[in-house]
Amino acid sequence: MPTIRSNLSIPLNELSRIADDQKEVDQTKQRDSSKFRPLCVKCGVFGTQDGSGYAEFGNTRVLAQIFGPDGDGKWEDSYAKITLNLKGVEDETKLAEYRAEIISCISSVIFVQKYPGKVIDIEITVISDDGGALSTALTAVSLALAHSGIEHVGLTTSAHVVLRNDEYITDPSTSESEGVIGGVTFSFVPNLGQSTGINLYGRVPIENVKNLLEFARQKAISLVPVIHKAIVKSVDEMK
Amino acid sequence: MEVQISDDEKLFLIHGVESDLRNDGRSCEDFRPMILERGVLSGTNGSCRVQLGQTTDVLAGIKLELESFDTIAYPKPRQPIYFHVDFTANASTQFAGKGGDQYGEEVAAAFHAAYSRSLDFIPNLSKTLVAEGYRWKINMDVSILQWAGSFPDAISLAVIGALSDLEIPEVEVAPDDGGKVSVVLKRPRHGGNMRDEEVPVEMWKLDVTKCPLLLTVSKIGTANLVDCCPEEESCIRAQLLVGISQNPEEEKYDVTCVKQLGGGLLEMESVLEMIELAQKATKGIYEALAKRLKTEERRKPGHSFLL
Amino acid sequence: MSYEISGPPLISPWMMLSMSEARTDIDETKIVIPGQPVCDAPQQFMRGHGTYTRDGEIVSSLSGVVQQLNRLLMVKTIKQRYAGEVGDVVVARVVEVQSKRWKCDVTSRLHANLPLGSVLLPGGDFRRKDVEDEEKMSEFLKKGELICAEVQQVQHDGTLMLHTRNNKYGKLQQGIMIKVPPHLIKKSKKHFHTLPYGMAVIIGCNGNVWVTPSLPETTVEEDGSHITEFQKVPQDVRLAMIRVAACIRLLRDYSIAIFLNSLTTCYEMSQPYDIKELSEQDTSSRLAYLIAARLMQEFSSQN
Repeated sequence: MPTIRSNLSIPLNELSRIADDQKEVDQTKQRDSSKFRPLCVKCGVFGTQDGSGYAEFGNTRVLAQIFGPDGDGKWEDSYAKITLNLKGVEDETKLAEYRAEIISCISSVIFVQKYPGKVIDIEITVISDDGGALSTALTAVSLALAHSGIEHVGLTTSAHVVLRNDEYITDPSTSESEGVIGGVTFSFVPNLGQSTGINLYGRVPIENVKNLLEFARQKAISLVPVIHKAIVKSVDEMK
Repeated sequence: MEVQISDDEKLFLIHGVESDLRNDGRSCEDFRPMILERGVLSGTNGSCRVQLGQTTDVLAGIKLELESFDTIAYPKPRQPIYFHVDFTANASTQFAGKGGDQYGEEVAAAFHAAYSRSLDFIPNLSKTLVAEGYRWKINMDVSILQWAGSFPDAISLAVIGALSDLEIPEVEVAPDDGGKVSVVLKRPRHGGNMRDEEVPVEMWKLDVTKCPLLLTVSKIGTANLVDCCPEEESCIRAQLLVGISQNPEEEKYDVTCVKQLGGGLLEMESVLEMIELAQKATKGIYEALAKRLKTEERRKPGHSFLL
Repeated sequence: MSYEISGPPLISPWMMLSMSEARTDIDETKIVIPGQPVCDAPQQFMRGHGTYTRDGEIVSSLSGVVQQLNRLLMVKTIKQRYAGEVGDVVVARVVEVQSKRWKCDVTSRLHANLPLGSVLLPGGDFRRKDVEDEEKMSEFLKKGELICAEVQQVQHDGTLMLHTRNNKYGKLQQGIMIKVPPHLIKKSKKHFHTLPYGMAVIIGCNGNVWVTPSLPETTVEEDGSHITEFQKVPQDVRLAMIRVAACIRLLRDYSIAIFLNSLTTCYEMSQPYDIKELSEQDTSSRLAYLIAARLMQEFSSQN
């Protein structure tokens, strides 16, 4: 792995500050359960050539970087190999779970046949996790992919929703996810209308699965304009 | 382990699957003949071996551990079953070039997710919390002996078999110095000449009627199938790992986990169809499993389980 | 859609079959293990395959049966890899495309070679100049595809040289391939069989059995090229193929030799059962017993 010279250039005003004093006090203002937490996405974070993306939902922040396609010397098959390195997740089982999901999502959208014998390396760092780390990571990776110039099918959006009693809560934080019946991280390619990754957990009665997935899908679709805007902005900046 | 087959063979297979006629005569919803045997490893607290179609072979063993933990760090009850999956001689190139270890970790993580609510569906599991700060940790180790497709299904059967075979000792909790407790194995009072250590310990078993089954549902062409053999696995477009738990009295099903793995894109209707197929299969397997667990006779000593 | 979870079989396949009279008993004195001396008077005999000399004695290096051919002693094992002979018909899979030849896997110790000059190209001989580079060769036969060929030559290191200079041989299209241990394939005159159930079978001497809707020679057009069939195989042909495939697996699991007669016998006797039942233990063991008995009967009535 080559050492990365990072000129991390996210301007401070684009980062929303955590108000530390607010965390201790019970939130008297109920967050609208159908809206995402305050979010910030940026396509192309580092100044270097390779693709990078940053996504922030509330207090969950994830940074993704894509290196490649590069020759490996060892990998010779007729399609590209995708490797993933995920840092910042403490629980090892969660780490393995997220890694499998992310690789599955990415390998289904990249045109691996176009890069025979090459290796595509993905580095993901979870800077802070306050719920929904998987969907934030997937958003960050799809932004990095758009920035990297690797050919892929379309942009991917992902959303994390939970079902509590009979109510759906969009993009909950860790404290909001307590005691829920179940939740799903739904990752979706809007221009194909097909899903690339579904990760459902908890204990959801089978009758509610359909509605839960539908709701997640709607929420993923609603993120499309935001991501679109971020990608267009990065293309503008590159010129 | 991928099996190489030519494009024409794949075409034949896909056409067959779409007309519900697979290459070994099964329909899309059929499983290969399953063999389940419990109590095969004497060095474990519970064990089970499952063979699917005489080629996929998995072995599950349980080791109990009395663990003391910090009640402040973990105030809420955690589920005590920990999975470890070992792919000894296999390295799969199917999932974008991973070695066997990583793959084993991911499968174990999937089982963790499916069993994350095990305190809900195994009613007496909460008994593993013997006292404040002490609990029985159930270490479930799974070894894949042979692989010919659909091992999560085989592993989930082996896990349920091993959990049903598991015997946990009863304990007596007595207060000790310094605010701690001492945990002692419970041996029923026995009058007579037997020494204390020779009295067999009282054991209790878990109630596994509602444990979730983790099934792989694959999409080949336009058809959805369960239990794919390696030739079929080289033709799949996408795969879903679905964990379903059945409540036998009420005929209600709960989905504990859905994972889309191995790449591939799916339409929403396909996802729902695949979950429905998993539910149908779960129902059938539960009945067969309950029957088998009830009617199983112990193997005679001197017969090795690897026939 | 029924599911059944059963316990491990009480009798394993070979045990069951050894109870029937269908097994030819091997003379027990002739069975040797590695390290066991093969004969009493080593000076009289010549040492053959599967043996080595130690302290003047001829000792076996394999576990198997001693065979004597005049003054030559060899040890023959059952589970040997396929060793080709000239004239054998094999079903092979292309593993590599090299310049001017294809390397094929015949489940032998080494991959076999199919030289470009030994292939019957469509359009006759003047196509040869066009197809010489690897890409053009891949258009004709690429990695992973199945072919049916004849062994032309066996080289000194055991590599087989194949040829497909005949309409009978060539690329195989839709069908099912079943791998069978080579010792179950009897050498016979015909390896291509069109069965009266609407499909055909190619029994390769290397243990690969190919079940197909039609043989390569029937799909040949006038200029020598094969029609590529992308159509769906009709349902009744498909059912017949799957049943024959299940029969082959059954014969393989119970170590019954695979030849035309055993296939047709097995097919007819399996008719009352569903195809998927043929893979279950009790049905298959019962059926194998009956088939073995019937074959023994026919064999003894012929002699």
